[in-house]
Amino acid sequence: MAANAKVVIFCPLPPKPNGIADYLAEQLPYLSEYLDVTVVIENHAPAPEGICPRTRVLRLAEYLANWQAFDKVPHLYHVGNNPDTVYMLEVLLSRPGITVVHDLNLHYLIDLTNLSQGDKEAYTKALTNQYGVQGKVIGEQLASQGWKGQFMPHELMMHSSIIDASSQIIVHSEYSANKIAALGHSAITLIPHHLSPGIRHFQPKLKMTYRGELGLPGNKVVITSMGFIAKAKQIKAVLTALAELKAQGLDFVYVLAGQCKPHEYDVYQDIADSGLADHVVVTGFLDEQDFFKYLLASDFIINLRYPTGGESSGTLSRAMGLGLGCLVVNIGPFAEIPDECAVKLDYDEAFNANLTAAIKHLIENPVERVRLGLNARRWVERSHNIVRTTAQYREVIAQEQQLLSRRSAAEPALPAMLWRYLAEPTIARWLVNNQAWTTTLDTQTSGVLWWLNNTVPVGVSGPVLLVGEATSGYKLLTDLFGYAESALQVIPPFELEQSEGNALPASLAELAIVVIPTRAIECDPVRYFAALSERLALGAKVSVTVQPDNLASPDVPITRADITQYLEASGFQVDNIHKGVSHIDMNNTYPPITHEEWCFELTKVSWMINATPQAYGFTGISELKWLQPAVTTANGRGVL
Amino acid sequence: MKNVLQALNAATQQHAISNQILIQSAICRALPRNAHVVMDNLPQSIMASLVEATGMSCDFVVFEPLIRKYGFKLADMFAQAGLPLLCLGAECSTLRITPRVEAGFSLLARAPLTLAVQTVDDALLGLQRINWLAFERVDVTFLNQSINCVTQHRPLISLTFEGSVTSLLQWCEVHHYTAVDATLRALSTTSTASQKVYLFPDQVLLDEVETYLTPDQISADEVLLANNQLAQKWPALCTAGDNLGNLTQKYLKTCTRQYPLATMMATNLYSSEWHDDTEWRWTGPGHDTSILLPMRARGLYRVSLSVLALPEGQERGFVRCFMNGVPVFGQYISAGDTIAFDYVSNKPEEPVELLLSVTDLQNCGGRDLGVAISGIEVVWNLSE
Repeated sequence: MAANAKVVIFCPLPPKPNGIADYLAEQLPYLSEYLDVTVVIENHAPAPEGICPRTRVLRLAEYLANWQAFDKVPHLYHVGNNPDTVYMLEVLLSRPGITVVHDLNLHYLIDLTNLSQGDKEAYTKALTNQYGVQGKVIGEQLASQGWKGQFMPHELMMHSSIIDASSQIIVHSEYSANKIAALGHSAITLIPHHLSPGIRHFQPKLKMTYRGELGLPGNKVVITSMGFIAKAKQIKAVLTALAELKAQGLDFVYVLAGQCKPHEYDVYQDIADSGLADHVVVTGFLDEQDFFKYLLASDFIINLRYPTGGESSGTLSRAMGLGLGCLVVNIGPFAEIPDECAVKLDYDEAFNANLTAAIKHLIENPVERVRLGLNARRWVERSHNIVRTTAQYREVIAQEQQLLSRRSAAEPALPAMLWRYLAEPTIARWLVNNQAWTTTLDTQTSGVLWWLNNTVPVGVSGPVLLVGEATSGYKLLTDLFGYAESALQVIPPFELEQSEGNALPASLAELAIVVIPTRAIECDPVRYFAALSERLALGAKVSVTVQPDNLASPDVPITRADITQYLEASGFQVDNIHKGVSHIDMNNTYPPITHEEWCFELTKVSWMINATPQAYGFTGISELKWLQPAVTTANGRGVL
Repeated sequence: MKNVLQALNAATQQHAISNQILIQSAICRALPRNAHVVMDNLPQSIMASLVEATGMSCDFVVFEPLIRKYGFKLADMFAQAGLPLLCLGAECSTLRITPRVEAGFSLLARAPLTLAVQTVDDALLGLQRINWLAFERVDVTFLNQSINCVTQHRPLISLTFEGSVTSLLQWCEVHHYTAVDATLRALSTTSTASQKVYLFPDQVLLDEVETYLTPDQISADEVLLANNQLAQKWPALCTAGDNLGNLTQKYLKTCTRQYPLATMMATNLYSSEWHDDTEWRWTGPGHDTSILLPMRARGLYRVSLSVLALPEGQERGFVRCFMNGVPVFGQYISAGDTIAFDYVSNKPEEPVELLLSVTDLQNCGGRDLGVAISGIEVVWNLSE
């Protein structure tokens, strides 16, 4: 890569108390040796400290003011499930780039943009975006009855919008890579979490010195859990196990080396309940120096996560790199640690008993602790070397540079889309000027509500999908709505579900006009609308006109209300339904309408469909399916 | 005429906004008292305040690029100021602003907003009179879409013209307008584009404006005027004893515009609070507060904000300011401090966005508070 290649990185920086900030700060000297690095931080973040002097730092406002200047520069977004990465979301979702997914489940991050601000309706929309109509149901339950399962943020993954917007993804574990690949993203690179170069400054042989400095006893086993003190870290289970071991006469000190989250988990209550107040030390947030000292003062580490959001643990890599034996839950990325490098416990009905036994074993067997630690250090040094991991980053960035050349300029990072429609009198004027044509128009095949009611935005770039009889729709879209013939991709109504023979457009469409008889959807409306959805970008505008047809013999009910349900089940939001022309024809310019039709104005809001909506008769059974885009280069996804 | 040219040049030398104040004040004085003005400017602008001081009525309009830049944020600012969002364009269409659908965007559940983009002719059809169309950045196509208004009302048109001056002069010839520049000199084909231009519908109005702008005794070598001199040179504009005169004199003398906080176009500001004569607004609940400032003339300005208070128990807080994305201030502040910085406005066609970013918020009585601002002041002519 040329010495002046550039990259823009969105990531918090120290002194923000955030593991991702430390992670990037450690990488910067290695990245900026080869790249011109600009890091964008949030406007109110404290001034960065202790970062590589070759790094240029911009605030978000500065970056946004120079939006176009960065059009051809690869972007790298470090996303974690915490408030410090919220600021980058609107840029990430607007300008495709490489996303480093530090936490697989970003539910809390998304929640911070809506529910945490008291906006339940927006939270419902976010759930709908991820889970389609089923997400809408969950969101509405929450809004109306205040229902939110205790583990909902853990069990309901929220990441699809971020994955979908990214051209390439970097993850730290195979677990995360597989989960993301299931969403259809193919440009995923697995780069292990690097071993912090900072550990070079600390010496394991000074263990007792550090204990003295930290006020920890030299004659007891010191067990440590690191990072934010959250419920999912199973601290309560550890305290229960330790209480039992204390009753058996074992002596130890348990250090909780991290910041409390009292609004989420009251650890002090559990400490008091376990009767271990004299055996537990809660440090609060630690700077890097103290963090390493606590690690090295420890005999072994307990790093439990259940449930897991698929997050990778930088602190665990550091602990293992320092040669410490670790105890983890055999789940997610932690299951990928070689068996000989850590004690891995299955989270099953025997978990608590096994946990107690495993802790007891490690307390009583210093040789076992050393064996585990040595194996761990060898493994981390081999696979988590920062020179190697940053070289992998540079390869991904170089690939992104190539992808950029074929990507059009990104729209500004606004939380809004602007659609232009014809002014109302324009259609009436056009009708007057084209009366000869409209008198010959077969409104049954052309449909009328979609254009007389002005449901089609104008000036939309990219391909425009027309599902219907070509001739009249073609003229209306080119002549009245001003689309170039070359932009139109016409698919006959009965051929939408046949992928063969329908050439795919260069990119996903932002606009579709569909005019169909009910016969076209008589077998499986959701499958039909899903075939349409596969060709559309998220946020696309769609105008669907359905004409009830006497020849139809539907397998499922197809009333207007049913079709509304099918459209929602297919990942669309129904914005408006027209049952007739909404203006009075004072001058007799409208073509005569002799048939019934319904026009649905839609927005595509989700890739998730429910293949068996309630109207199909399978009560209580939802078959959720993640649609794959018909064109994978929509956002310049990493297909070279 | 030579005196007018020289004096306006001298005013421009001081600051381009001084020139605008003089001409706008003269136009306000020359127009009938019941005149109606349509401007693409903010209600807090100097021009709007002069028009208001005259007692004339006014409509505020925006052009589409501003809506594209700010989206819902602009609509919210207008709604909070109690103003309709009237959008003008070269052709009629309907603009629909809808929220993005991807989880992670803010405002996901925001109701869509439909705006009619209209030509001047369509938008102002029902008005009984239009005496002054004051626009930034328009071209001949736009003017051609305003023919009915021009024919019916014969308004004075002020604009910064985009395109060739020749085409503008041809338009003026066809529609019997006289085009002059910011020194009231007739526009010619050799004039430069992208400058402030005034299109007068008749010579009488032009003469009257010129009369108001004729200074008291200006010597040939008087190229730079002090503030108090500026006010003295135009007694017809500054010493009439009416609201317009007093305001014109104040602007010219003090070179200062104090913005009323209560009606600022802003986001992330709590409602005004008062104690005696002091008004303040807390920033919050977010960290970043946007305030639109109308700086409609190129040049150097000094902006200052008075910090009335910090949340209870907080002695100091860190504040950063950006003007159109340019960092201009970043330091710890305490109650009673003034946040002050200089800024060169180089895009007068749009309002300048002042972004005030407060590092620490504190929850007080259920509100997340940043800092309490008690006044915004913009000063030009910093040489004095």
